[in-house]
Amino acid sequence: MTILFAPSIRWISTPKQQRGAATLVVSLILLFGMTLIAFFVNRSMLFEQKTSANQLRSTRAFETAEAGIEWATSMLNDIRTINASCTNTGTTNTESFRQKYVPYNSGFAPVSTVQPGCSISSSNTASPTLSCGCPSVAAAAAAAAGTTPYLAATSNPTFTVKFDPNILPDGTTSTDSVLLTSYGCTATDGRCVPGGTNTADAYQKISIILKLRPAIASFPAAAITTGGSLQLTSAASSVSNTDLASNGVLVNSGGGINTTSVAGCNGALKDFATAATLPGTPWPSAMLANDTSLSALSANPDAMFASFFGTTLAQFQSSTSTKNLTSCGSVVNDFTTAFNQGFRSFYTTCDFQTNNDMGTTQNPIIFVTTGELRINGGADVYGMVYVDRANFDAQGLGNASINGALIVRGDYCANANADYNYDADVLSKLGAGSGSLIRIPGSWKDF
Amino acid sequence: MHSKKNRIYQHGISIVELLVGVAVGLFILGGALTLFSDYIINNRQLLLETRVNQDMRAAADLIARDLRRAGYWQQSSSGSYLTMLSPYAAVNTTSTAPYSITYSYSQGTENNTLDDTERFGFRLNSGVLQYQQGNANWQDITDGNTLTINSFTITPVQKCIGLQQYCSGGSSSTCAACIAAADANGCPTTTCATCPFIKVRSYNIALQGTATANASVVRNIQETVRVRNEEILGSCP
Repeated sequence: MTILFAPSIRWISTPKQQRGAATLVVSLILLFGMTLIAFFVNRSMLFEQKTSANQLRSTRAFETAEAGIEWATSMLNDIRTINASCTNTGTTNTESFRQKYVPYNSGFAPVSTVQPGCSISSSNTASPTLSCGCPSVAAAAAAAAGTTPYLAATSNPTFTVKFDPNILPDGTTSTDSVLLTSYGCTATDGRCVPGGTNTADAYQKISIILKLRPAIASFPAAAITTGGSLQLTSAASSVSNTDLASNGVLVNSGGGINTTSVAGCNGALKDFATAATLPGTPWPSAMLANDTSLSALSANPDAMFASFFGTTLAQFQSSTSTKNLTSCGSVVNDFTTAFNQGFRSFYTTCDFQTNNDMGTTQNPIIFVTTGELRINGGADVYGMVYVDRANFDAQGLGNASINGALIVRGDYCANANADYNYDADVLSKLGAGSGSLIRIPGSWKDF
Repeated sequence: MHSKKNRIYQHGISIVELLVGVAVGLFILGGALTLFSDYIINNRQLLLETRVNQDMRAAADLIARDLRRAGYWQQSSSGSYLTMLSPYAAVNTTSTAPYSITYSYSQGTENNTLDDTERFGFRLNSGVLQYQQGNANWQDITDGNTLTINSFTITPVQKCIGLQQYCSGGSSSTCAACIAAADANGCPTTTCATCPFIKVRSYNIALQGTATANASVVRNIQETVRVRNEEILGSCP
C-alpha cells in the first residue's frame, strides 16, 4: 500500500507544488464553458449568415428575372436587325429580335424552342455589362439539351426569356398578343438553360403578356386622303383601289376634289387618266368629297394624326421604332442606312428627293414628313405616306407610284404624273410590323 | 520506519495555505463569474436582437413578396379585348391607425369576380402583424410573445398617366374636367368613367418592433414595394 502510493504522496506532499490546483481546475471548467458558448454563438451567427445569403440570392434571381422581362420588351420594340449576340451591326443581319422570335404571319407565331438571354457581369457593379445570346432556331436546335450554345457558362446572374402563344379566355390563340416568360438565375445554370438539369443557387420565373399596339390605329380607307381640297393638274395620273373592305374608295377629301382651286396650284383641273375601283362601281362614286369629319380633323394637326396612328405626332416622333431624319443635307442616305438597319417608321422635317424605291412589298414603311416629298424617275413607295402640311405640292412626283396610302393633312396639289394604288396587304403588314408590344396591366405574375 | 517517515511528510496543508488558496480561487471565480454573466446577458441581448431582426425581416419580406402580386388577373387579356376593368386591381390602404393594406389577386379557376378566397392583406392588430388569407380570415404572422410591432405604416406613392389620346377619336378635350380635378399625382379625384388613366403604384412600408421581453430592443424596417400590375381607371368613351 504505502509503497504503491509513495510517489503520488510524495508529489502532492511537496508544499510548493500544491499551490493553484483549485484555480487551475476552475479555470479549465470556465474555459470549457466559454468555448461551448462561443460555439453556440457562432452557430446562430452562421445561421444568420446563411439566411442573409439566401435572401441575397433569391433577391438577385428575382431582380434578374425582372431584368429579363424589361430586356425582352425593349428588344421586341427595337426594330433594328440583330446578330447572334443580340446587337445591331448594320446591314449584314437580316432579322430583328421580333422577326426572329415572335414572327408575324397573320398573327403572332412565337418561337418557343429558343430562349435568348443574357448574363450580367458583376465585375463592375456600377455599370454592369450584358453578354447576350440570340441564336437562330437552327443553332438552338443543333445544340444539345442542357447546353448553352449562345451563352458561355458563368457564375454571373443570368436570365433567359421564352415566348409562348397567349391563349385567350375563350380558348382561342390570340393573334396580337404573346406570353413572355423570364427565367432568372444566380448563375448561367439550372433552369435558365433550356433543358438544363443542374440547379442554380436561386431561381425565379416571371411572366407577363405583351399586346401589340399597332403603329396604325385605323387604316385610311382611300388611296388618297386629304384633310383639305384636292386639285389634280396632271394629265397622266392614275388611282386605284380594288379592296373590298375599304369599299374601293379612291379619294377621300375634306374639301372639293377637282372643284376648288388650291392656293398656289397652277394648271387646269384634270381628271385621273385611269381610275380603277371595285368592279361594277362607277368610279366617280368612289370619290368622296367634302367629308366634314375630315375637314374638322384637319384643323387640328394632332387630332388628324391621332385618328390614323392612335398617337400624337410628338409621341410618334419620340418612339424608339421611329427614325428621325434630322440632317437635311444627307437625308436620303440617312434614310437608306436606317432602312437597312431595320427601321420602318420615319419622321422628317426636311425636303426629301429621291430616285430610288422606298420600302418593299415585304417591308413597307411609314413615312411622316412636314417637308416636301419628291419621288422621281419612276421610283415606287411601298407603305403609308403622311404629309403633315397645310398645303402639299407634289411637284416632283413624276411617274412615281405610292402603293399603300397617301394622307395629306391639308390641301393637296397633285401636279405630277403619279400612280396612287391602295394596297391593303401592304397596310396590314405595316400595322403588324411597326407597332409596339406593350405589357397588359394585370398580367404580371411570379407564381 | 518507512511508515513513520511518511507520516511526517503527510502533514496536510495549513489553514493559512487553505485560506489563501480559497481566497485566490474565489477571487478568480468571482471575476470569471462576472465576466460570464456579462457575457450571458450580452449574448441574450444579441439573440433577442437577432430574433427581432429575423422576425421583422421575415414579415417585411412576406409583405413585399405578396403585395407586389396585387392585381394579377388570369384573364387580363379580357381587359384589353373586352374593355373590361380588372376586378382585382384595387389596393386599399388606411391612412389612420390601425394601419392596414388590402388587395387581391386571381386564384384558382377564373370567374372574373372577386371571390372571398382572393382577398389578401396585412394589418396591425394589438402588436401583432396579421395576414389576411381570404376575406376577414386574419392570421398572425408575428409572435406576440417575442415580438411586439409598435407601428406599421403604409404610404402610397402613386402616379396617374392619362391615356385619353390612345382612345380612338379621343383627345384631351374630352377629359378636361377630369384632368382639371386631378390631384398632385395626376390621379382623378372625381369619377371619370369615360376618361382612362393608368395608375402606377408603389407603397412605402415602415415597420417598428420591440422585443416583448425587453423594451429597449427596438428595430425599424423600411421597404418600398412596387405593385407590378398597374391599375386602369375608367375606360375609353
